[in-house]
Amino acid sequence: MNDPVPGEPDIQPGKGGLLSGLSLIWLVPVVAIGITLAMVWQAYSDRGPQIEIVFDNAEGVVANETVLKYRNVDIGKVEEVHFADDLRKVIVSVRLDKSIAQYADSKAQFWIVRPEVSAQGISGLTTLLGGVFLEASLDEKPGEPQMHFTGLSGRPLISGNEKGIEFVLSAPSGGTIEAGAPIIYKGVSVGLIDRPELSADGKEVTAKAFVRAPYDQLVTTNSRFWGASGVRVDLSTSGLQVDIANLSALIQGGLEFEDMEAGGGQVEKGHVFSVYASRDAASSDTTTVLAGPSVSYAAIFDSSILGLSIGAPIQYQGLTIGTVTGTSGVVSGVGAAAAVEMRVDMRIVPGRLGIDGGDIEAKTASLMKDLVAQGWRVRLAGQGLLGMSLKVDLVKVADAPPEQIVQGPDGTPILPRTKEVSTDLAETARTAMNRLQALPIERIADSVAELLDNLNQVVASNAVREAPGEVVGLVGDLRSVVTSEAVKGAVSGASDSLTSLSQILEQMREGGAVANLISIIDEANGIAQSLDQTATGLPQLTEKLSNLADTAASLPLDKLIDQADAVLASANGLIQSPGVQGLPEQLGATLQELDKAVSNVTGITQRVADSTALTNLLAALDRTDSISRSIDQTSQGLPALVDKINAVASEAQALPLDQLVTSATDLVNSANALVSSDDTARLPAALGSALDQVAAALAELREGGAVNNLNTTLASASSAADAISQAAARLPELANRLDALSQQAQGVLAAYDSRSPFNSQTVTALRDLSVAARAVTSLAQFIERKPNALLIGR
Amino acid sequence: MARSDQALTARAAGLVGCRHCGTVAPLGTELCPRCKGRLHSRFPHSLQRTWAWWIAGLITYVPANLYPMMIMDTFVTSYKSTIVGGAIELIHSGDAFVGLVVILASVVIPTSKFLAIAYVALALRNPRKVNPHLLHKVYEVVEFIGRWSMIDVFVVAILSALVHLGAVATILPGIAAISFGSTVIFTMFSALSLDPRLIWDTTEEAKRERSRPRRA
Repeated sequence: MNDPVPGEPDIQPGKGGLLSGLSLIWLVPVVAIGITLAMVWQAYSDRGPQIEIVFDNAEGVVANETVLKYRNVDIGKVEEVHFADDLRKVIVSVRLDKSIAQYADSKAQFWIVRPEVSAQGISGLTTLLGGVFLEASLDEKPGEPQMHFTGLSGRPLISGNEKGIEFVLSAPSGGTIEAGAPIIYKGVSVGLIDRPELSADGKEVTAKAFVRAPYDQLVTTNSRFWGASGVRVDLSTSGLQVDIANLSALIQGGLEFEDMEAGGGQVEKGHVFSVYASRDAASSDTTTVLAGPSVSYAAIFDSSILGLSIGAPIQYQGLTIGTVTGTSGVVSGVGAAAAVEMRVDMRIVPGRLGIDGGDIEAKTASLMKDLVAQGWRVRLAGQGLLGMSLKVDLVKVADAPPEQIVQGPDGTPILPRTKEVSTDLAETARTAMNRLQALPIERIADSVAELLDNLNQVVASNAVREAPGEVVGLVGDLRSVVTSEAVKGAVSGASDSLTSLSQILEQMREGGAVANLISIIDEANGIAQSLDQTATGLPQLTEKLSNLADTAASLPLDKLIDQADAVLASANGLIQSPGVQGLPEQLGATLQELDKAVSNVTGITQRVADSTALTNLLAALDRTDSISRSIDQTSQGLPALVDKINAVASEAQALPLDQLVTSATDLVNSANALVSSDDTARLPAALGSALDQVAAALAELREGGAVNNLNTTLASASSAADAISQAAARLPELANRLDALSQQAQGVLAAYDSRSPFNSQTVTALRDLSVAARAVTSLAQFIERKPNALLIGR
Repeated sequence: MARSDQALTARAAGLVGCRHCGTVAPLGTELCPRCKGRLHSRFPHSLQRTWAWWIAGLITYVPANLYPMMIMDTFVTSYKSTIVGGAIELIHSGDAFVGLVVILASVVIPTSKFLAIAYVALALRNPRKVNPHLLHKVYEVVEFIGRWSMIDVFVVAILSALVHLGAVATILPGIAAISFGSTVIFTMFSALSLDPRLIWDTTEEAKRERSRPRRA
């Protein structure tokens, strides 16, 4: 191998300055490092602060995955979950967004959102899918950023970042305070209660509560809170009332509140309110209104103070001005007069009497002195309806003997007492009873008993007792009559007739028909007097009649009878005539008309009964009494009438009777001739068929029950008439009794003259009753308003 | 001058070879007479370029490992995984093989590439103790293997294209994907910038100096 060996090349290194040896390619790493640094810077500058939140339990929290949300917007992410040094807590490190960091101040709260089912509803459902997340509650004002927080165990019911008032509720037991339960004002939920906690000494349960704006204005220092069970049952004079307030309150309770006293001030945050068991307990608690400076007084009673407890109210005209602070015994008198009296110590709050400013003790002493001088005394009074427990009342006693406030052995001023120990209700009741006792009840009772006896006799009479059955029959009959078609058709006619009748009656009344009747009766009286005169002549008349009879006996009667026979035969023939044959139909029609007429009459009767006609009739009947009396007088005139009749008879005797008989004979002969004619001979057969038809018609009537009804109607009417007759027989007796009764009543009424003592007593009694009634009414209203007053006595 | 253990270089022969078409031209010719490509006897600033690309690759390799490679958004949660984190998760979840492949492709290969380029580049500065044959082999391996280290980027690119299911699941490439891609590209440029002829130049130079008697 012999390779050509080239000559040594002339290699010269490049010449240049310091940078000529550098390639432009160095820009690449410079740019890369620039970009990287920019990225690092950006990441660093965007990074917010890392905060640490301490939880008891970090269930479901995953580092780098669990987010922190505020109003459902991510504001951070958990970067680390680790234990505290002693393993008692879990520390969750969260990288906050830089923009939020300034709000994470001391007021920020953090908790873990987990799915939760409670009485308030179901929340946190999204965490079932996406896992738990942390939630923050931030206020709107940036503050000093904090790095360490203590996490809450759950969503805080009161976040502290909402507008409203936050205060503390204190209750003897936790039964009425339920976490999340609403605070209700007039049935509207205005806030809620936080989780209750037991106080350190275990005596009470406290819970934070929150009332949203603008309702926070409703909470004042005088507000009272009580447990709302959701169901309220009132038993009052107006009946049983069941109110179901609020469904959520029904499920989880809740508290209601109200201002029991006016003039409450604005509540500071953290104000402590007591929770009462019920509205009544809330309204009756006077501890807050009686908190204030007080002045000690005492009273000494000689009666039992059983039922007067420590804390019983001192009332001035119903206003509680203090409480009983103690009871003890004091010895009074010596020897035979030795006794132990009851001393009651009390504290009176002058503020309740309107005394304020400085030196309240002197002002109160002055006021009390004035009051005692005016007759104000203390006494024991029962509380409530039953008066089982006692209170001390300050009452004004009229005509009280003058007394003064004396100083007790210990310097406590002792208020003078009045002896009267009563409960208001008992007193009122007793007064009312006294008034009632004074009423003449026995006399009234006797009169009433007598009246009742009389009525009983009337009612117990057979006539009245039988009446209902007959009335039933009558009604049945009437119903059959009324339901007939004729009646329906007749109503309109009857109506017209009735109007006419009514008009007639009216005219009669206006035209003085009764007066006419009286005048007629007067005339009848005159006639009766004439008759009386006539009656005296009766023996003569008898004799003349005897003569007349003798004369008649001598008349040719045989012939007359023969002629009569002939007449009858003729009549038989006549009846058979066709004219007579048509008679039954006419008779039927006539009966129908009669039926209608009866219906009309029935209708008329009803109308009469309904209309004023009856009263007219009654008036007429009254007149009848006087009429009958007139008749009585009239009957005294009968002998004269008989005399007159006698005279008439004698005159009749003088009449030419013989001629009459011959005329009659002639007539009979003529009739005989008529009857013996051919036409008359056909009459009997026609009459026979007509009678058959009548018989058939009657049979129809019988089948139709008309006859039965008629019969029963008649029987009923008859028995009714009998009953009325019997009743009428009793009427004079009844009238006598009524008369006597009315006399008695008159006497009684005379006794009750307007100026009589009874009347005045009655008036005062009524006035007292009125007052008592008003008192009872107001009591009832009070009880209605506050039924519990029955139990608690206020 | 020619020795049995020393090859005659084109440069020594006063020639320059075209890297594109292999034509030999006299030294000093700027353009290839056949293919008109630019002729360099040796790459200018070869080592500088190599180091520049190398440093750029190393810089971008940092965020490639720190930032998430893949962001998986499901409607429940958002899951971000870095290269190493994702690989470890794969191994933990049982796919040890896939995890190892990912680690190999995304960690071992780029790292060894950095090391290899750095080794070659440093060896050229201090060529006395190195075997030029070993250096050349290392260079060959680095150049061959460089393109395969993009496997992670490919996975993310494919998944991002495929998994686009709206709210249910979406996969997005993270910053690390771009960074890692840059790293791979920069290291490839770095390897390309290294003129392998320098290996022989420097080693033979060193031999020559060693064989040369020391001057007094």
